[in-house]
Amino acid sequence: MTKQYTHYTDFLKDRQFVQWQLIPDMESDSYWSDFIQDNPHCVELINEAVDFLKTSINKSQLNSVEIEQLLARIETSIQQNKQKLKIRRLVRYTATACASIALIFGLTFYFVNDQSHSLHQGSELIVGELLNNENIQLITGTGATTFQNNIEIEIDENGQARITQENEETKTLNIAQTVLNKLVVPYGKRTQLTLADGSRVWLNSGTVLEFPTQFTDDNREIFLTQGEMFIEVAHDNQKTFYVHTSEFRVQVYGTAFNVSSYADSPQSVVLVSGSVALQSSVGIELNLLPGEQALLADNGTFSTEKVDVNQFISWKNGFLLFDRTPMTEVLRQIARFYNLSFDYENATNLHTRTCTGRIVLSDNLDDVMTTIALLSSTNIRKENNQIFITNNNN
Amino acid sequence: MERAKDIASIYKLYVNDLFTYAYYLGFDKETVMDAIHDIFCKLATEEKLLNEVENIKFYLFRALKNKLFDIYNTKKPYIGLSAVEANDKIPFDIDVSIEDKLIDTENQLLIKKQIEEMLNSLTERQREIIYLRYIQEYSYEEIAKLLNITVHGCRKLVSKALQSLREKYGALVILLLLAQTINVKY
Repeated sequence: MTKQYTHYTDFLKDRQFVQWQLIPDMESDSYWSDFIQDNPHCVELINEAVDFLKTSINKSQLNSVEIEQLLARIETSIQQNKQKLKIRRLVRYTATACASIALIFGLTFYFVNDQSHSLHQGSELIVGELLNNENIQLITGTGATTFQNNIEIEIDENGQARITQENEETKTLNIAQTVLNKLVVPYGKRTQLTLADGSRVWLNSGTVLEFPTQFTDDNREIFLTQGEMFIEVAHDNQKTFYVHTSEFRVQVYGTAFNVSSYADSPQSVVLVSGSVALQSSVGIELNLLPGEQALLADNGTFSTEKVDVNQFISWKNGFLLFDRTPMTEVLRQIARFYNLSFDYENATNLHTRTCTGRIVLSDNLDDVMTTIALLSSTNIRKENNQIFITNNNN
Repeated sequence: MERAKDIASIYKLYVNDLFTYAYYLGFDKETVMDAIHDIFCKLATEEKLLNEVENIKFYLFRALKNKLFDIYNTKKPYIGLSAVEANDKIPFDIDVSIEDKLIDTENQLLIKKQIEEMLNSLTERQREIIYLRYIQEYSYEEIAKLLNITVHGCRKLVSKALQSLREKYGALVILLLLAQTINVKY
């Protein structure tokens, strides 16, 4: 009877056990206390399983730096409230915390307020279409490999790539080191990549990234040809990390950032914390502050603006945040994620609609569209491969 | 200065639990951090609180939830929900994160998927109660206060949760027991 429990994971794989842990009742209590009496050697495994289960559903999203930073902020406020002048130490404390913080840098799509549309009063209909899904492609010196589902790629120091496709087994691939590898993530797909130095990259839909198998040069350099990515750069004092886009490059002093350069939106960078230096192709330089967005203009200059950074990085965690965001921009982002095409150019009345709230990027497109309809007060109807959006005449 | 130290140790003890709870309620990181900031500032300014509150952890959970409710209600007009509905409409989604280098990916995914499936077959409030009871080890009395429902209603939600899991996986349990009996015979 105990044959099947040789490792604590065997308990976790047992639905009955998990159910007993989550919602115990008399029946399961007595079953498991009998079990423990009959199998005293399993007690340790059970304890391990319980610990594991509790940790896995109570994992804080805060890292130790953020915890320290928030504490410093609380302490500062408390001191200020008491109007004591012992702030200096705390300020210094906060400053050191900031310098070591993860740096998130998002180069994202930005809505351009285009007033040039002809004012077409009658057309209040946006028609969307579901496009055919393409495969993710990994092109290396040894050849091209395609994947139907979202993948996770992990490259080790020896140039071996471990590739895990959603719902499938992990494959191992040897990658030649002679040329840059190219990863193509089409619209409707996402990929997670761990580089040879341990840096982790999340690639959003419609992204092309070029990267070396190993960082053998003096600097670590990767190239975002198009699309959007979020990256946590592994710390290495010896080798500076650069991300290049078609129009500028980003030099990373901290640890994490997010980039996008979609063809239909101006390129931009959003820094959550830490520090990065930008240099555009015409030689303009900019040091970005946390919470700021740098927008690249056509003439190669940057303008900066304070933004809510969460709106720019939430895609990585499977949802989108909007705050009075124009409907067109909402649809633009949804279209990339689900590989849809919307013809919103003529629906001028709908352009003025805005969306505020959170949209969970679930696998079920119907749920997503229902949320959008609710958040933007529109009617959304789906028939076969087409989506119709109309004004909701209150 | 000494009080600030107290605050710091209380903070370090509970910040992760508080954050995770609020995060599961569907609030973004920034909002949660602001809310935590506010409740600790309040705790520090009202000296009586620190000395009088018996169960500081429960006090913090309750204060945080009230704070988040306020935030939710001020944002409400955009989403167009009435205040009455707020209690039911706030989500509660538990992230299952399996990070153990000793388990292979296949098993990690399997375990993650199974736990997620079980949690997903429950309603938001059922998940919230189970989280508060199993992880935070609150009594039904405390949970009822946090959720603003009766103890009876709280227990009823839990037994319904158990019932729906049984309906979904009941057959499987029997199969498992059968399989075990067969094993014994061999």
